[in-house]
Amino acid sequence: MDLNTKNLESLLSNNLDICFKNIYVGLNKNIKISIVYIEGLTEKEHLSSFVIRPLLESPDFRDAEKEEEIIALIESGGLYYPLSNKLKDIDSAVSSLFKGNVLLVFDEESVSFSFEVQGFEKRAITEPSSENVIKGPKDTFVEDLMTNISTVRRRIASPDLIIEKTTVGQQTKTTVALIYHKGIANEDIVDDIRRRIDSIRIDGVFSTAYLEEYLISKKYSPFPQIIFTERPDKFSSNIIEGRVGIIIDGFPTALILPATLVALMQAPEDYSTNFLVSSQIRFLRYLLIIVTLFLPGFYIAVTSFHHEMLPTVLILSVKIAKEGVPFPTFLETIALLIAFEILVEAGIRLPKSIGQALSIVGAVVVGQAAAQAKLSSPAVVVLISVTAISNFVLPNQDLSNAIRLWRLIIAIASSIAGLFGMCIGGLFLLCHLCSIENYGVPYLSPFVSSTNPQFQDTIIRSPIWSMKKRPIDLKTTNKKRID
Amino acid sequence: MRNKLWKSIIVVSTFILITTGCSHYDFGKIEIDDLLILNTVGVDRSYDNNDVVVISAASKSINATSEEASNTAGGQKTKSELLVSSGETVFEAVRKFSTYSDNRLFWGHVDYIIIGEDAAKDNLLQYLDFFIRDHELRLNSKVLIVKNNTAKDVIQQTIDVENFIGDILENLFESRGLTSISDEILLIEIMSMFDNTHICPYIPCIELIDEPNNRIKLSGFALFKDAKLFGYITDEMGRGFNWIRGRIDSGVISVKDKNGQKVSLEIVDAKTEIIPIVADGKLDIKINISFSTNITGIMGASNIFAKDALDFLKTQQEEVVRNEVKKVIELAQKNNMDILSISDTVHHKKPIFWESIKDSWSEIFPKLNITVEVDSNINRTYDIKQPIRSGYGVGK
Repeated sequence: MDLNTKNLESLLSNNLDICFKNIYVGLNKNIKISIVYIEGLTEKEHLSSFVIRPLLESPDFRDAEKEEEIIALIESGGLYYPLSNKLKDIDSAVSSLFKGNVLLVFDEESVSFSFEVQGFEKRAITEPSSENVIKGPKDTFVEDLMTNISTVRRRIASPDLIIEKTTVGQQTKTTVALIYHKGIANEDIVDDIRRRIDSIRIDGVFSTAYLEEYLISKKYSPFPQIIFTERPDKFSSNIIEGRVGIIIDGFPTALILPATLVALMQAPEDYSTNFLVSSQIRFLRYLLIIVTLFLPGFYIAVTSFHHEMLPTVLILSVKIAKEGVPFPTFLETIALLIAFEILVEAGIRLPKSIGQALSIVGAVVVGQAAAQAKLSSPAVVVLISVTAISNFVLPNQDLSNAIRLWRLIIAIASSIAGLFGMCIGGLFLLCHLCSIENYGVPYLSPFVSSTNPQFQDTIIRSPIWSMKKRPIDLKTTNKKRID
Repeated sequence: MRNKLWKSIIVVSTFILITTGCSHYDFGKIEIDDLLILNTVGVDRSYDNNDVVVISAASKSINATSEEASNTAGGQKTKSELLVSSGETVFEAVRKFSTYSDNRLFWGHVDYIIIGEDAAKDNLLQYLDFFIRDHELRLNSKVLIVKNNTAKDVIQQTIDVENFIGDILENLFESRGLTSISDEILLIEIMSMFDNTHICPYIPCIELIDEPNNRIKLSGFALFKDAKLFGYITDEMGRGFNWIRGRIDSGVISVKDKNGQKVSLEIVDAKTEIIPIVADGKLDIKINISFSTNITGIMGASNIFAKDALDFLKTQQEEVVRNEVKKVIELAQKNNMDILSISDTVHHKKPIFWESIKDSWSEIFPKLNITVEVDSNINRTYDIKQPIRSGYGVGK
């Protein structure tokens, strides 16, 4: 189809929000220019004063006799607007229109100019809701892509910071920005990610998972293989570390990849507190991930298979707690684990005020009552609470969801074969984690690295000055971060 | 293919999950509240009918707290249980428990195995074998011999609402270092002692004393010869034995000073070394004991803190220790019982020489020349430099 007003009208005329307006310019007022824009996406003030007024009032335009002259004038900057694109086919014109641009269509020449005079409602930058820090910046990503890119650009003032634009979604044409540092990020990783994004053929991107599930390598894994963040500072520091970032237009969450387990265990606060203090917290976090994974399974194994493993005094009190409870331990434990999942799930979508009431009723009242009615032993209630609380210590919600799933698997394995089953479950988990590799970066790196493993930023956090190199497994072009 | 695999995994796991409740698929699973957790086991020789063995098993459990009980101070009260059963063998007796016990007996937490005197006199090993062989029992449980009584009696008389035999024994062993007259010996140590043909095994012994009523006293060691009880060494001799074993933690030595007033000294540090000396193919044993004491009590008022007075005390306490040790050595050599593990020391320190004499050890040991050298010092007298009342010349 040719690029002209008629065709555009036939494509778009049914829409309420698309406006067509013809103006006539030139010496004899006989040159027709169609202005096409979308109501609500366009700043009309700018349109009229910087585009329409010069067309009608500027002496150059008034003296023009032909369309070519006008086109040449616009190309040479006759209009008072810095951003304009000359488009020659109708598809690009339409997609440009839907970005909020204004089109000036010249029918005879089949040419259109687009001006970026977007103006639509945006959410202001707010404080982070899920990744709070005490010390450190309090801004977040917002829905608008350009705002997000500008916050990142402000943090990394380097010409090597590359922000590539691609479009994903056959129908939605969502803009996706691929962000990396040319001098640091590994070229192969960037190429691979770019290729995968380009090969995505879906209708649209309505949630970050739409992209995520195309970009990860181990498709059948509950473990997050992409780091999601709403914090521009975390995003930027990962870019500088050698990872690749993706920001999707319309989402206040950015993607960082490739992810490793160690990276998911880091919280932004770690780097703003004293290294000894944050090392201790890190260590605790790793300890608690083991607790939350294995504690229910261990309890089942010990109380129903390996009674000799507990100290005598402890086994006596566990036995007292269990006395009179009609269900086997594993049923009790698993039922409570599931009950906890239900509580979490039920609480998510409730308004805050009701949510609190629910957790009180669910956890305190039901837990207490169940223990008193001898439906579950108090020991198990305590145990599940410890497990659940340990789970909340993990800084990454996706990771803690994955752990929750595996915890159930391990609990079931231990209920079948005791500690042996627990070990088998743990072994399966380990095998699974070892098999995950994204873009050549093992998920468990640096724990599985054979040469020069870097443990400075893993279970402990070393002082910043001692982390002289970027993560080796990211295979960065520039290895040193401190000269 | 992949689809098939998934289907089979689902089917298999469904069966596994559904059938976990069935007793046939429990893989040794047993719920904790079905267990009776035993803590102390007594073994006795029985003279009734055909039965040879009486087993008494004591279990402690914290009383399931009723509402009132948990509100009162103390909260939980212990509830102890004693089960008695007899049979031709230990294992038979153990199995007979199940004829009347409502819970499955769990032996994994047995801390103390108490052997009655009769059983010890009969043949200790045939009673201990089950406890060594069974997989549920632990080799680090402690073995005790009851002096002049049966294990059943001891357990029966010390179990009531407030007391439990296991707790009592635990406390006794915890504080055994204060007097050092006995020691804690594990089942596995006893096994290795019996396995060694050159030494005579010894096991700590307890006795029931009347005053205060029905208390257990950890009184010394029971000595064994050929798996049969030979005799006891208690109190002073028990400590003498521990001097040689090098297992003295603390203890009290009472001596008299020059003026005849009694002074008590507390042992704070002790070290023993057994040195085999081979000269001209003849073996001599030297036992070096060194220890230090603190003065903890003076019964008189005269000043003993002069150097010569302290030196006198020092020689006195060395004399006391030497006598204690000599008595034990005498007993051992007279009865040809190497309870002192001298053969072991020779074996380790002079292995080649040991090879030449090990077959005739039973002839060598009674005639062995064992010298005891004691060296001591008095460390401190605590804050009081002079006895009370001595400052104004009362005692001078």
